[in-house]
Amino acid sequence: MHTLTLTRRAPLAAVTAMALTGAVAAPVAGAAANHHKHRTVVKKVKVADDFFSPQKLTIKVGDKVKFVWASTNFNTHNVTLVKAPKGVNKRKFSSMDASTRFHFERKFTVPGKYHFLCTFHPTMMNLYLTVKKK
Amino acid sequence: MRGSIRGGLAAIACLATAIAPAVAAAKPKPSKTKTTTKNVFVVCKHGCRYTTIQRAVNASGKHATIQVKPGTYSEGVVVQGHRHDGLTIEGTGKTPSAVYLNGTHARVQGNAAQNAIEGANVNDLTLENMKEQHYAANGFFIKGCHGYLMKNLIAGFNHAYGMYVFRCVGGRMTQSVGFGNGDSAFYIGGTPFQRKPVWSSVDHDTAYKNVLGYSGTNSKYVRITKSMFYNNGAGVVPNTLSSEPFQPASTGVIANNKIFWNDFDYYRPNSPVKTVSSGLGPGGALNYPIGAGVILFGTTGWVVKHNQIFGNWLWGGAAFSDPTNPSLKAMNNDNRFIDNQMGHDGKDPNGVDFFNDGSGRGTCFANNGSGLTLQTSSTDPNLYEQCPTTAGTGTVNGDGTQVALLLGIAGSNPPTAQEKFWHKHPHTKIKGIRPFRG
Repeated sequence: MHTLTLTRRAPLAAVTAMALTGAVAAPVAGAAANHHKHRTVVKKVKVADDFFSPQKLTIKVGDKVKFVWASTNFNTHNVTLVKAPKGVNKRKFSSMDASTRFHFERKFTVPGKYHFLCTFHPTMMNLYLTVKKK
Repeated sequence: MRGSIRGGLAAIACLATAIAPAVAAAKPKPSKTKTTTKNVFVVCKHGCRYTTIQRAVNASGKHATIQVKPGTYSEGVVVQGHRHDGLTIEGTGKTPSAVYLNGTHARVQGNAAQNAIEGANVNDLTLENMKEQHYAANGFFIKGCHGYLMKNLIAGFNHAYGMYVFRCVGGRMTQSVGFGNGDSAFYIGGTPFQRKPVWSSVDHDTAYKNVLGYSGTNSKYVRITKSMFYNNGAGVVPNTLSSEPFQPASTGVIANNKIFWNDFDYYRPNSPVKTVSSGLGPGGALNYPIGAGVILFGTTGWVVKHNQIFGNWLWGGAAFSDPTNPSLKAMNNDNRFIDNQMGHDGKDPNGVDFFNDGSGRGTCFANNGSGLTLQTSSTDPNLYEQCPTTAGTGTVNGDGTQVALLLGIAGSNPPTAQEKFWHKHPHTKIKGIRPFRG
């Protein structure tokens, strides 16, 4: 079984800010409170029948990607990492199979190019992710 | 509504016995290693070492047996990897319902549990004598395997499939029941091409009140036999889609089944089962046809024989290509409808017994009784040739008249307007089963 790491809960202020702004990318983990230089950004990727949206994405080292399965899905999908920079454990970046009411979030600490696909729909569902150095 | 579905189970058992005398043939594969008490893991709600099936799975290894005592289990079990090859998970109750996996509030690591039990990359997994309902994706799901057995299972009201197998080589679904699923009760798809095919079997099963009874995208080497498909939107629908691997759906047999009353209009506003399909084609303007017994959608080399097909108000059997498939592999080739009993000797006719779009090459019809009704064309008089034949356009584009009719049905707006294409009439009576329209 692939292990899913539970997302650390953001402090109330950050959660409130996210809710108020409705931002797709939002700060988490109390960046301001901890006086970190780089705010962790969470980018959402929609997992739908039968596509990822967006299909290309660029983030910075330390950012997270949250895959969210669409509530309208009919089919089962997964997020499977098939190509990654050296040293990245692909299994840790691959999700369970799911249809709806499911999300999967990972933090990217190794810069480089990543290729994800859904093994059920490998020709239709591809995501190319670039992780840039800070 | 659900009460009436559950109420039908007893009747199904009677009917299944009537049409399926060879139930005893369903035997699990013998284990490669002797089962000892060391290999047996007992699960129960109180007083056992394991109180969840997942914990017992985690503790188990190859060829182990997990015995689940009667009770309700709210979990989504995942069996991952070849270290579980040969595992058996079996309910120990007198009936499948005694061990009930309830997906309503089941959670897995912060998410809704997707499947009652999922086996991923496990060979010869056996799931037996259990019931599940209401999971976010599917009921019993096995993918990436060589061999499996799903026996004596009940799967109901799941988002997509009841019993779902993907990318496996060989296996069997038997003596099981699926109802109320948003896609199909039974599904075998994504079958890899094999030089020496290992066939899968769907036998002595029952599917009712699903969007589809059997579906299999790119389904291959499957025998669907001695089963009942009734009161679904469509009964048996192998199909080819470019979105999934190993096109096309090819080489299958649908034989000795009862396929009737598949006139469930799940598009009706108050339908207890909803398809969440957003439609096919440009803008999702096309919807799956309802009211059909067998639909061969872009298949090659499927044989439909010795079935009783009646009371399906659109078509008894249909075969057509998918010209929108960019690979051009969803072609109606070499399918055969032979020796079927259509329309219950005229007592419970289908809308028309057969529809053929005339595309592809070699699809034929033989010995399906007298008094057949055929969806004929004004432009092609050779749509229903006797077997063998080389008739057909040889392309994914069929006869213009037939395709126009097909688009008219699938493009009905709202989708429930498809009913205007039905030939409605009272059905013959079958003890313990009532027709269901949605």
